[in-house]
Amino acid sequence: MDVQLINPFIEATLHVLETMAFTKVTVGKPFLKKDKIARGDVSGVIGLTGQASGTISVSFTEQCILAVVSNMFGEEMTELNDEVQDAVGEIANMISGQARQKLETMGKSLKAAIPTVITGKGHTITHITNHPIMAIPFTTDQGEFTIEVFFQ
Amino acid sequence: MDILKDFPQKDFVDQITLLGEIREGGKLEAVPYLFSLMEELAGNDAVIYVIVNTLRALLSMSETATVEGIVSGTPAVRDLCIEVAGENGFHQAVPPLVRLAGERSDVRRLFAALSALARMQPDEALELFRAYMHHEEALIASLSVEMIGRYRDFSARQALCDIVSAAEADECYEDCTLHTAKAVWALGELGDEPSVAFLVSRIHHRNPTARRVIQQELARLGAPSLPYLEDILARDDVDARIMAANVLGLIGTREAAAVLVKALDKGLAGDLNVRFAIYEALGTAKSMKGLVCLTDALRETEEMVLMAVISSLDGQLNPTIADDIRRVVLGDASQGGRIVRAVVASRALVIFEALFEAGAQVIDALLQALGQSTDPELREIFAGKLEAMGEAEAADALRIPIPAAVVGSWRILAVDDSRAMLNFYRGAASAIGCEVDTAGNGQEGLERLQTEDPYDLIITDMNMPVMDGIEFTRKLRENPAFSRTPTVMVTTESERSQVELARKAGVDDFLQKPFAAERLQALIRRMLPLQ
Repeated sequence: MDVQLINPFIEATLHVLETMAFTKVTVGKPFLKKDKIARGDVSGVIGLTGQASGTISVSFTEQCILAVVSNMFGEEMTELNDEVQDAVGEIANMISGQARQKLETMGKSLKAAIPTVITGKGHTITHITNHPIMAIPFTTDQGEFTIEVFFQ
Repeated sequence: MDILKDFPQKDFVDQITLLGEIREGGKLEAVPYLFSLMEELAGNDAVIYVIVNTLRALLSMSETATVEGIVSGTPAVRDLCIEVAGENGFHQAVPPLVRLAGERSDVRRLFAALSALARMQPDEALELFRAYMHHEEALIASLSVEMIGRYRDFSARQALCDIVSAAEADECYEDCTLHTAKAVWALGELGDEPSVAFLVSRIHHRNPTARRVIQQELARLGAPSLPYLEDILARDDVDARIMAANVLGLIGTREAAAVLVKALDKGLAGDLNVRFAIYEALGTAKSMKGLVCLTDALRETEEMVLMAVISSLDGQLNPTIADDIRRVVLGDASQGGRIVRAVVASRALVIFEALFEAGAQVIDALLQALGQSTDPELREIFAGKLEAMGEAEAADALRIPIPAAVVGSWRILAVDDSRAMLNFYRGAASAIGCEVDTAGNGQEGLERLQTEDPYDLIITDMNMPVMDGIEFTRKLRENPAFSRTPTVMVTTESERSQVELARKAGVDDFLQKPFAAERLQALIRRMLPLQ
């Protein structure tokens, strides 16, 4: 996966969290995953199809997503309820949407499926592929989250 | 331009309609006005969004206007024009882009300028990419390294090698960054002798993911890596020799097989683990000489090694080889017995059928070996085979359920990417009444753990594709349900840091390859003392 194609996902993530959730985010060093499993307390996953196919997932720790959603809604969230899950789906949707828009101008036109949200302390998600998966770690004041992207 | 007069004062619908007309009409003369509106209306996101789209459409038709925009004083205009120049491959934009990227300004803009240059790949930009190979921003450094590969810039070879080597340092060898992976890839793109020689020299890189990327790259290169892999096979380092044999198997050509055969001929495979790896590789890198070597190897007495030989032969059996196998089996009773057991344990169905023509004695031995197996899956596979061969009676006999007392009450999960090894575990463990499930890599192992009943013991290999044994153990230990399940790692690794890493990940005990079935059984008994 070309480095250029990773950037739209990073930009979109920064943009979405900064504008929608007023959360300051720092990007970590992208790395190649040793496995194909995403781990977190709540994740949004979106399948991508079109000129390339793949998935993008955003996995938050509980502490991190509660802070993000509290900022988004302007009210204190204390548990991973339906509202928080909806918000994760929406965040995943917005990130994938903005990134796809950018990728389209780069000549890669992708379609996105409806996001799926998975909740559960320390759950895992498996990307079905033989291609290496790129993981991009992000940190906020309230905790960490990870974006994992691959397409082929 | 008259129609854009008082634009900011118009209401939104009119603004959009107007911009639509400009876009449809391809009115290039509107560009300077739109540029100034970008500054004037900054902050009004909705309108800016439409203006950007309009500009994008117009600029894609005008290289000159785009180049002018790159040096504009308005940041938003500049960023847009950098992108448009890259998207459309506007070569006139190269000089200002190079200048901009040389200024070491804002990181985002720098990345955008480098991306645009990356798409056009002009000669002038190479110097920049060389300079930014170690930029503190990971994405910029990774892009630059990637571009060194695309340009095939041989002068930067040493720098790439240094990146790969530096990733082995104590403080960072646990992760394989994008930067490291791209450096490996770029060396593969260079593909010249020193680059390939370097990659081969790092075949046993300390980071398992980097190791895998290097192996993939060498396998992709194919022919150019062969002489270097041949060198490695002649060295002392057992781990590196095993890796080299694995890569030769991945390359899978007749030439790769020739290298493996040569190593055997020269007597470089004295170590059992190396021999195992070579025999296994000869199953995918096929050649006539390789077949001859495998047939010779029917003399091997170590059960594990013999299983690798049988597995590899099973995929390329021809009538002559089948005759040879029959001759060995009939000629030497004790070796014949070992081969028969290996055929059953390896599930070598093709050889199994061929041996059925070797007379009543061999058939009896085969059926006896099958009858002794307590592995229900293995029994069913051979029952199906016997049925297809018209041996309904023998098939039915195999399908008679084994009394519960014989079927193991202990459940073991074996994780290994070698089919021969998995079959070995299955045979050795089921012989002492354990039920064995298998998985081809750590990832599959975790899936097994999540879908199957709990296991009493886990046996895992260290180096595997997709997910290695160390990461598998780490993930396993993270889950409270498996935090105490006894876990044994089977390894040939002599490097201390790897064993340390494994212990830190949560491995309880190690089993050094090669080992006989008895040692595995003793270990199982020790780890599961209540049996």
